[in-house]
Amino acid sequence: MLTEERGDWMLAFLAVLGGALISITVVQNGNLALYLGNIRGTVLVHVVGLLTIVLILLLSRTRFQWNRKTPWYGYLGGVLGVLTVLGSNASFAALGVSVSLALMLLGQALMGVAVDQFGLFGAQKRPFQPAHLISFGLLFGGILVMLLS
Amino acid sequence: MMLFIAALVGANTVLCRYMNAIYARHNGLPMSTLANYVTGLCTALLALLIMGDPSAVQPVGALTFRTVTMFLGGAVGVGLVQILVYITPRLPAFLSTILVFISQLGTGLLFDYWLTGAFSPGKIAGGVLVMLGLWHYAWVWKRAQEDTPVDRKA
Repeated sequence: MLTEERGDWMLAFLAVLGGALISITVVQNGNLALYLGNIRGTVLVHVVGLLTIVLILLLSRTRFQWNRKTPWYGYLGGVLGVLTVLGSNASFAALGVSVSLALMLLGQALMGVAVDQFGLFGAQKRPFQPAHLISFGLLFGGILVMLLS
Repeated sequence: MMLFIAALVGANTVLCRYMNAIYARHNGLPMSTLANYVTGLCTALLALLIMGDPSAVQPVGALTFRTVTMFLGGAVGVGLVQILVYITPRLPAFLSTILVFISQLGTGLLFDYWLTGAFSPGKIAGGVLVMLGLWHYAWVWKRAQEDTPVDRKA
């Protein structure tokens, strides 16, 4: 229903699982930051993550490979991830949780719409449909109610 | 200025997923996760070197569930990165963004209820509205796809 591919509901489930894991890591990393500080905590999170993925790759005997044709911006995922952590910490401190979350959602939604509209980064083009205004109204109304109550 | 930065952080999370997905397209999902942590660690070390960390290190003290699990955020993050990289090219960007966000909020609510017993009918009502919005968004898409084949890039 969601895409042309099969297993759409499995993808939706994975997205929901991803959101749940974000909440769990936010609590874990927040606790770590209380003891070590924000930046030291971020360093340790990445050390543990790196050791974990290396262990998984070794145990699963995955062949280490590197395609030289990978575009330069493909390497920016980790960099942007750290900038996200530092930026959200600063935002939570300056604006509080609710306002920060609302603004971050706005940024995410606008970027998501732009990716769908223009097919950025090789994504499938999914131009805006006027009927989506109703969806947006329900989504943002619901999120606003959740954040304010 | 801070308002703009907060919105930029939001846009950045979507960008981050797509950059990892681009790496995965060329090198596979496991290598994309590895690259994410290598470049992330380098960036975090650089930030520590340039900005330092003003907070003092606190002693961890007794080993409890909280103090033990806080060291495992990076390990859970590996699963998280793999899931997000996997779904990113397969779901519409807006839909995956909202699904992830609303699940994040919902899990936060469950944590609050579990830890403090706090329950908010307003948040449940908001959640129902969001579910309706998601269903409507997917329904409109389904109809649009049935009417006209969408342009798919290689």
